[in-house]
Order: sequence, then C-alpha cells, then structure tokens
Amino acid sequence: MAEVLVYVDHVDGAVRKPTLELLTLARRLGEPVAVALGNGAADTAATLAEHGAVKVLTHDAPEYAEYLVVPKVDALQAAHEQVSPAAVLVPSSAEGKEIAARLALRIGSGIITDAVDLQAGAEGPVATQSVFAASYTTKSRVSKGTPVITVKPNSAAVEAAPAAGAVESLNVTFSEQATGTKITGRTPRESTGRPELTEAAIVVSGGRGVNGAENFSIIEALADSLGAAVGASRAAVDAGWYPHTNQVGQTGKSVSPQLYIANGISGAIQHRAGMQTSCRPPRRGTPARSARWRGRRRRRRRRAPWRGPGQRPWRCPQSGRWHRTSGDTNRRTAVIASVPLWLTRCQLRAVLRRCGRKSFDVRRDTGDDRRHVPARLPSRSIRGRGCPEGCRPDPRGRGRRRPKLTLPGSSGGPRRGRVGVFSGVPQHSSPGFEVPPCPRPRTYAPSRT
Amino acid sequence: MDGLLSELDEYAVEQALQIAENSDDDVEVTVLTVGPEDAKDALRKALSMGADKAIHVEDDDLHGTDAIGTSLVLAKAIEKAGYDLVISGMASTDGTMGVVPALLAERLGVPQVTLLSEVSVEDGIVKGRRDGDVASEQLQASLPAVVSVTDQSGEARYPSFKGIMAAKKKPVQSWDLSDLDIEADEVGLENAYTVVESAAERPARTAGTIVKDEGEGGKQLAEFLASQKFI
Repeated sequence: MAEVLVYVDHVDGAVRKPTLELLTLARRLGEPVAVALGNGAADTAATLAEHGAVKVLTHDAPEYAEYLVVPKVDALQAAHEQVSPAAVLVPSSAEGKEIAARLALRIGSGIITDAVDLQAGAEGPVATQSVFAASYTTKSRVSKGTPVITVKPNSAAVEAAPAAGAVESLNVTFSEQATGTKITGRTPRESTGRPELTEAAIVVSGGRGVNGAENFSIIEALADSLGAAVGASRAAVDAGWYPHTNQVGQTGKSVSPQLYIANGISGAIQHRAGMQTSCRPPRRGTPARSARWRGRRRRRRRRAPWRGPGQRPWRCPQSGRWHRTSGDTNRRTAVIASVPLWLTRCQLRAVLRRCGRKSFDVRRDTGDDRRHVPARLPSRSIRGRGCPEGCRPDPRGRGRRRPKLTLPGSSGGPRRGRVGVFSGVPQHSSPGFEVPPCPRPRTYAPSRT
Repeated sequence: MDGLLSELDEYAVEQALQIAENSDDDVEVTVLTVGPEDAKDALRKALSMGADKAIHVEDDDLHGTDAIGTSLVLAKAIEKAGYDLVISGMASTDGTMGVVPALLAERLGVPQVTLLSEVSVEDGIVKGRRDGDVASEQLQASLPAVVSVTDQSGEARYPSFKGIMAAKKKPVQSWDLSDLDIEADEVGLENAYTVVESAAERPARTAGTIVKDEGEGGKQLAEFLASQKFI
C-alpha cells in the first residue's frame, strides 16, 4: 500500500490533536508514516503508534528550535526522498502552511491549503475546501507531483487504530537557507488549562457587547463549565479586552467547533427601557372627529373641559387600553423644565424612570407622525398633538396654543399662583448614568425650532 | 482584488513607509503587483500613501495562475527590479492561503521573516516579533530578506490630499511575461499545479430555534445543550 507522510506538530513530545486527525485521514489514502522533529520527537512515537502510524521518522537537532521553518522543510524533503509517499499531509497552522509550501516548491508539486476533508480519488486525493468565507465548497486535487495538502483542525474525528509505529531516525543535511532566520527569543504562551481554540469542540466567544475586560470573566466561567475554549471578536480584541491569540475571524483563528456560543457579538444591544408602544390618551375634551366632519364647517361649541377622574372613560383604539379620562394624565404629567440633550422619546422615558417618576408622558415637538424626532423639551413642547397611531387627531380647541405646564396635584387647568414647583428635573447636562441607545433610526423632520 | 488595495496589503505598505522614514539612508519604496488592469488602482492607492514608484505586471496568460506560478512571476519581477527588502501582507483576502511570502523566499534564496507583528530594520538586519499560537518569537535575519506583516502591526495611514496629487506624477512601469523571461507554459490556469474538480455553493442556513429569554431562557438553553449531548 502506498505510504503517506504526516508531519507531526508537537510541543516537547506532546502531540497536538490536529496531527491525530491527520493520521486518521492519512489512513484513507495509505499507510501513515509520521515525521517528528525537534526536542521530544522520540517521545511522540507511542501516541502516534496508537493512532495508526506505521513508521515514525525522528530527527533532533538544535536547528529546529533556533531557526525558522527552513530546517523542518529540509527534514521533510529528506523524508520524502526516503519514503516516496503518495501524499504529504501537514496540519494547517501558520507555520504548517509555510513548511508545506516550501516543500511543494522543492519537490515540484502542487499544494492545497486549509482542506476540511480528504477522500481518496482515482487520480489522487481529493481535498474539500470551504472558500470565500464558507460560502462555497470546492473539491480539488493536485495535478502535478506528490500532493502536499494542509488540513484544518477539527476536520475529522480522531480514531484510534494501533499500528506498528517503528521508530527510525532520519538523515537530514541542512541546506544553506536553513540558518537564514534566527529565532533570538521565545516567550511561550501561558497555558490557561483550556483547550486550544482551533481544536476545541466548544467555543465560547465574547464581543463588543461584553463591554469591558473584567466582564470576560463571565465568558471564561461559562467556558470552564462546558470545558470550552474562549474566543473573542475583533471588536473585543481591538479594544484590548482579550489577547489577539484568541481572536476568531479572518485575521485571527479560524475555528470549527461543534458548538459555538457567541455573546455580545453582532451588535444586538438589548434595549429595554421605555419601549412600550406609546399610546397617548387624548387631551381633554376632544373626541375624535371623522373626515366627514372636517369637511363641514365646524360648529364652534364651548366645551367644558372634563374635570375629575372617572367621568369619561376612553378606550384607545390602537392599543385597546382604557383610560379613565382624557384629562387624567395631565394631572400626573411630569414637568421638565429643560433637557439640554437631544434625546429620543425612549431615552427620555428611561431618564425619567431613572429619576423616579412613576408615570409621565412624553410628546413630540412636531406633528409629523412617522418621523422619530428627539423629544427636545422647551416649555412649549407639551402641547396637544395627534397620536401617531391614530388614536386621536390634533386638537383644535381652545387649549391648543397654551403651554401646558401642569403640576402634579393640579387638575390640569392653567397654573394659577403656583410658581417654581417643578420636580423630576434632570438639572445636569449629562444624565449621570448610561442612557440606552434607541434602536429606531433617527430621522429628523425639517427643523421648525 | 476589485482594484482596491487589500486591507492586509495596506499594513505592508505602511510598514515599508515606516522603515523608509526611520532609516538614515535614502530608501526607495517600490510597490509591485501582478494582476489585471484594475490592479493599477491598488498601486495608485499605495503611491498616494507615500511609495516612490510602482511596477505592474500584467499579461493575459497570467489568468488563473496558482500560488506557485504567482510566486514565480513575482520572484522574477523582484529580481529584475532589484531589492534589499521585500515586504508583503500575510495573505490575500480571497484565497487566504498565506504561502506566497514563503514561496518567494524559497525562490529568491533569501531568509524569510514572516507573520510579524512588529518589524524594524537596523544596520542591514531586519528584526521582528512573530506571535505564533504556541509561543511568541523574536526573529532576526540579515538583508536581503522577505518579510510579511500581519494586521497587528499598526494601522495604515490614510493618504493625504498632497499624497494623492503627488501620486499622479509618480512613475508606474508596466511589464509582461516577455519582459520577465517567463514562458506561457509555466503560468496560467492550464498549467496550474492544482485542479478544482467541483465547486458548490453552500446552501443557506435554515433558521434555527430562537429562544426568547423570559426568565426560562437559561433552562431552555441548558436543555437544548443536553439534548445535543454537549453537557
């Protein structure tokens, strides 16, 4: 049977999981022959033999730790000459791809990177790749020379298949290029005890919504309870909340776990404050008028404003809510003297709730129904307007132009003799707490103010 | 691709310009690209960022070249242009193979110092820091060398208006395969080393279950995970 070279990715003798997946895939194509290089290479033989390696070629030299990439390419080229394999499989890490590419050039072969599956085909191994941000799946094969294929982690389930695992040593002569790039210092990553991000079966990620480096401890706690790895989106990494090594994405790590839990990613901010459908009861004394009426000459009739509760129950046609009286709400209308911010209605409601107002009514400045304009509130803002949902039209009565500043405790009439008693006023120019963003699109009416 | 300078290449141009600014000698920054007609826009953007001259390798026979063929064309063009240091981005944004810098180093016979998050050049030695997934390494190589930088290396500068105006006067050379002494049977789609047998669009994802959290959301999620045997 043909032999397949598998490059072993190990750290001081501990074989990493993607290599074991490679051995499983190599068994589909032929007999796996593993190549382990560097410090601890001989210790990998036991694990490799359990997973199907028929032979393990080892070589240890200081060059592997001291120089970048090229010594390993020299060793793999020597192994290729010794074994003459049907294919060469390398794990698809950054270093792995470089090793595979240089080897392919030297032996005159083609290279396929980031394969997610491998099948034996009539003219050679066929590799499945997921390209263009996983929008297309392609099957390709190498048409010239020994196929060199790099395979992504988590592409196959690891299957144990005990095999001989005979250890042989490899004869390697390093080329001139081997000593080109010197590694002058190395800082190993602190191991967190969690699985490696690209190899984990479950990944828990945090993004912009996590809102701070200290909150990532929640993400980490969830990850630890699931035995998962922790990832971060680019927004979180750019903000400095989590290191770049945990970034998941095109310029970070590419993960394909079985379960991916994304927290606070893709920008869905929960906006809960003040988002009830507003139904504003009509101003006192004005029933809805139909279109038929508007055309006629209106009879002017003095209408006594309704006073006192419970006299004229009114049902909002839009929400179906019953209001005790149209004038009822005026009594409890909060008074805002000045709000220097441009806030939308929802944000203003959030501010008022936060200030402790129990009920309030926020009205818009212009009469345009469908636009969502900030509720800037000078004194003239609380005036009669039509309900945008069509509860009632603009009032045309006497009270239309008067500024409606009412005090709690008043019955809704003009303010007589009471001065300066306003409550619930945010006096500061900034709210002092976070005003939630309003998700509705802000479009502005042509300014009349 | 698409005639714009790709984001990963912007970082490379930025680092090249920073090396040129920080060095004592006179450094000339040349930008080189292999591509169809609209690759000239990428060159113009790089020139407006501050590069000195541009070279555009363009030929109809180059259509469909794979990574190995591209590295051949680039290597010949770089040798013809003359260089002390080659800087590139870490990968292309379409293929995202990330192997061309290594292939270039192999073909040119110079050291490769790739996937750097920081790079500096002093006294004919290029130094950098490469962040791998196991360890973070400090690398060093003597010039000439091939360097590739990642997106962690620092934000690219925006071209200033003066730069955009000056870019119109900077020279852009155009070469084709015969200028580089490359035969047509070494590059192109038919001579690629790999063959794509089939390509299928991934089917759109079916909508999953959406769990609304009304206090019971955590329990529903836990039940779902248990049913899928994750916990």
